[in-house]
Amino acid sequence: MGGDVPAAVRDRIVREAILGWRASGLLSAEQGDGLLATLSAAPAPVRAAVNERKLGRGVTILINLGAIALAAGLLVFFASNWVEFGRGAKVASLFVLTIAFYVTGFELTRDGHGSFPKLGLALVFLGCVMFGADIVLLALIYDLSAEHAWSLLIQCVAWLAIAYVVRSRLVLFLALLGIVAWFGAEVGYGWGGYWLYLGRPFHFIGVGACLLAVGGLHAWRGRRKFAAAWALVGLLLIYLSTLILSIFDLQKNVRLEMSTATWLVWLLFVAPYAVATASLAVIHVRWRRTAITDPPVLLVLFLLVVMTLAAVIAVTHHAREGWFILLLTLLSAAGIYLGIAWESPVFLNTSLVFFAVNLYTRFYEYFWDAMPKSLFFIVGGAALILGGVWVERMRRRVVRQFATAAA
Amino acid sequence: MTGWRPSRRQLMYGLIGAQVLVLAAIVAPQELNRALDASPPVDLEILHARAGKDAFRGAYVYGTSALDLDAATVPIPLGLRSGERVMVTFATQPGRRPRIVAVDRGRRPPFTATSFAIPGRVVGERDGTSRGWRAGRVRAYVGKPAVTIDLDLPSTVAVDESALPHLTGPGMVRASLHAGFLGQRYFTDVRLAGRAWTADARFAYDEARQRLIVFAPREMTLADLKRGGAESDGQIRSDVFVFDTTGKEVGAAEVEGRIVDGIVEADGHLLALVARQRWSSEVSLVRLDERGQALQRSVPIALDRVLGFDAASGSIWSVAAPTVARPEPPHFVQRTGVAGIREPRLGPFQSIPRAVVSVGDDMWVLETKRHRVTRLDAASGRVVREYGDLNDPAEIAVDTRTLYVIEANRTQLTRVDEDGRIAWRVPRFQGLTWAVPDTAGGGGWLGAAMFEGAPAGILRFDRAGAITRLPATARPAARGDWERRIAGDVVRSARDGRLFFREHEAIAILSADGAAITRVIGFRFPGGPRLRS
Repeated sequence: MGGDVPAAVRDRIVREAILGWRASGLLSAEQGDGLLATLSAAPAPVRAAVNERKLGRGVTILINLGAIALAAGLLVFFASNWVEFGRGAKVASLFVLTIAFYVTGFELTRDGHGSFPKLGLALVFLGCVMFGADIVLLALIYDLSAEHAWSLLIQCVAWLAIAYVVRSRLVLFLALLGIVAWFGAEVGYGWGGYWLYLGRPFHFIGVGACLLAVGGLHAWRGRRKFAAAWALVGLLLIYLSTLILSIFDLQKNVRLEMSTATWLVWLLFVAPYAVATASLAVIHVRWRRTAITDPPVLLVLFLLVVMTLAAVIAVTHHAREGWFILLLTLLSAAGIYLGIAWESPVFLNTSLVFFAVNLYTRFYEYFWDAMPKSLFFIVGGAALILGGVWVERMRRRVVRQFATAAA
Repeated sequence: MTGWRPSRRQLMYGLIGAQVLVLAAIVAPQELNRALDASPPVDLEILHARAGKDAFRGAYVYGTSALDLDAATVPIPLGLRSGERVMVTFATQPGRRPRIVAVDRGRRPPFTATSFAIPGRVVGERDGTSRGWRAGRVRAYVGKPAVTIDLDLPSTVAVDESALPHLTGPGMVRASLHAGFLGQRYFTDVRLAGRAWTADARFAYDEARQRLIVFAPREMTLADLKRGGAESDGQIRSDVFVFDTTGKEVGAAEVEGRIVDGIVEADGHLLALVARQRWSSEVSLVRLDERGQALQRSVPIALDRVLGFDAASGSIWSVAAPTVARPEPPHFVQRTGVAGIREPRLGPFQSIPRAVVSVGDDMWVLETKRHRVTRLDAASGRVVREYGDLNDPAEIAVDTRTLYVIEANRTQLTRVDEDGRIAWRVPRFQGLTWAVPDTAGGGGWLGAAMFEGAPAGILRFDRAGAITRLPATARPAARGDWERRIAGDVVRSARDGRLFFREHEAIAILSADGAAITRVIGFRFPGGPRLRS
């Protein structure tokens, strides 16, 4: 029967009984402490904190869902009645709603001395969305158009600033998406595509690298939560762009003609090798015990491989999809390694996902026509399940190690 | 001394203030631009205006500007670079479209009674293609070689929701353009000025009264489209617009049903093919009075069997009704009037004829598939002559008994004499649309997209087949072989020699000497409803 009672409940009952006996004098203080010490050593405050965190996360999800529902309701209301408003009413409603969301939201956070921080942050997030919508709607009201996507840039700056003031990762994600949208718009305006044009993946690899670098700065300053957001968006851009290029070489014109290359191009080609050789020499001389599998050496070798690959991609006149497949494989494998080395769930999870997506894209490319469809799905599905189970077990083990190390 | 560090509250309110300032920076100039604007407005027209609607903008109209944007003779400032801002000055002229008279750097001339200016930006060669997504942008071409300038005009104009029912089919919208105190152009006083022509609008010419008659089926409104295009019988209407010989509006009438094509009878009545429903493939021959009332109506007939009008007898030529589901040769042609079928049946023909042209007692039957034209006596049905040696004939025109044939994939005009001999063939055309014989002087006129590798328009051909270009430039509407034309695309007035033909967005009237052209782009009515309150 005793086996039916959870250990936590049993401990609580016994603890309360001991405390009651001690209070009534049936046990001395020493006897009571001795008996209490024999009970489970599980730190109750830690468990409570975990429970509290879980509850808090649930509340956050509920409040954010509520905020989204409220935003959707307002959107539908204004969409339904917008044409009925005069110009003055339209403009006034935009101003009032934006300020109301911001002020109410901020006052409800701890910084605003309110007692509903999560609701406050959700409202601030709505204010951010409203500010973006304001610019679009005002442009519609006054028939405005612009040469550059400056409005998106202004939004991004405002959102980034607010994300750091109220320390909201949700707003930070919005700002990072805004940065990507702004860059896409500028690339689109400049080269003639629609602003969501995905035909220029090279450009987005560059943006992804920049976002990763900012994430690295945050990690260096100890702001891991914000670092994760920057790194996630950066990794997504790099992996998605490389994945697209591994399927369609959309920017065939981005090549180098070495016969007409300037000295600067040659320098850029040769410099990484010189730097890598120098770095390896320094590591060998300064840290004699460093093995070839140690992180500094691996990092240098990896960069060397990536630069070699980039050089091959830049100069080859043949189909380059194969090189991009190799690049994606290298990048995602490096991401997994770094995720484990740096104990970063963002690196580990994102890289694992794209490693698998890369694998399945190739499986589709090479076997879709060659295999009977039933067999294709049987093999694909079974491999996915088995691979998923294995990877999930490995991933959990690694992430648990991170958590233990962090504790 | 420690430095002042703002609290989070101060930072947050500072950021909110900055965002409000950004929004105010957008709103304030626009409101000042309108509030302090004292310059006189200029009336502009939007041709082929159509209605649109979206959830946030609400209702709006868009279309093509009535500005004359081709200004090859206007000088351009030296050294204009891509992206440079310029001011394009237009001159208004009574009865004509505003035309560009000057392009300047930076100067902002005020609006006057006879001129106005619109800012623009020079478009580079790369921009020309890369900015294609900006559909609807008003683009001017100035100088030679042409410099492209994007004008800062809104591509759409907001209208009231209640105005949408007025916007059936392409309309002509007039709006007042304001200079704006800060130079930002904007429109007010938007009103419906008239109806423009859809692609399926047809016309006829009343020789006796010298009237141009336009048959214009109404398009579906946005409300119709919202209902999924489901319309009950009788809900479809067409307009009959009447113009004088100068293109000035005389009157209009409303007709139930969709007028597919029509002609004017000698007594002034209209003889029209009318479908009861928008998408119906059956039509009736209807005699209409000047008020659009149906006087007589024939039994329905399949539109794809109608081959042409016979104005003299007030009937149509059609392929005789087949007795089996899949018609097989032989085929016969018969006349159908408002009272019913008239004998005799003419034929047999080994393919389904494409068109029939009748002049006096003679009729010519065009069989494209068999590459031949057959001339018959309409009264007896006797075959007078068969014209072979043709290559995929698409259109025919008859001058007494001389036959002109557009053939060889609309690249060649051929004259066939009465005795069946080929008099001449003129190749090297592209998109030959129609030919009209000149009964008095021999030869005639033709409409084509290109001739000998150069844009053509309207050309004159003489008795010997020599082709000459006309002073006036025109762009006859192109015509595919799949498009049905019962009454043709062109009419020549026997009295004064003027030529009426269809352009893409207008009905053009070419003077007898070929020097001047008048375009009827729509029917303007006075006191059209305001579209924006």
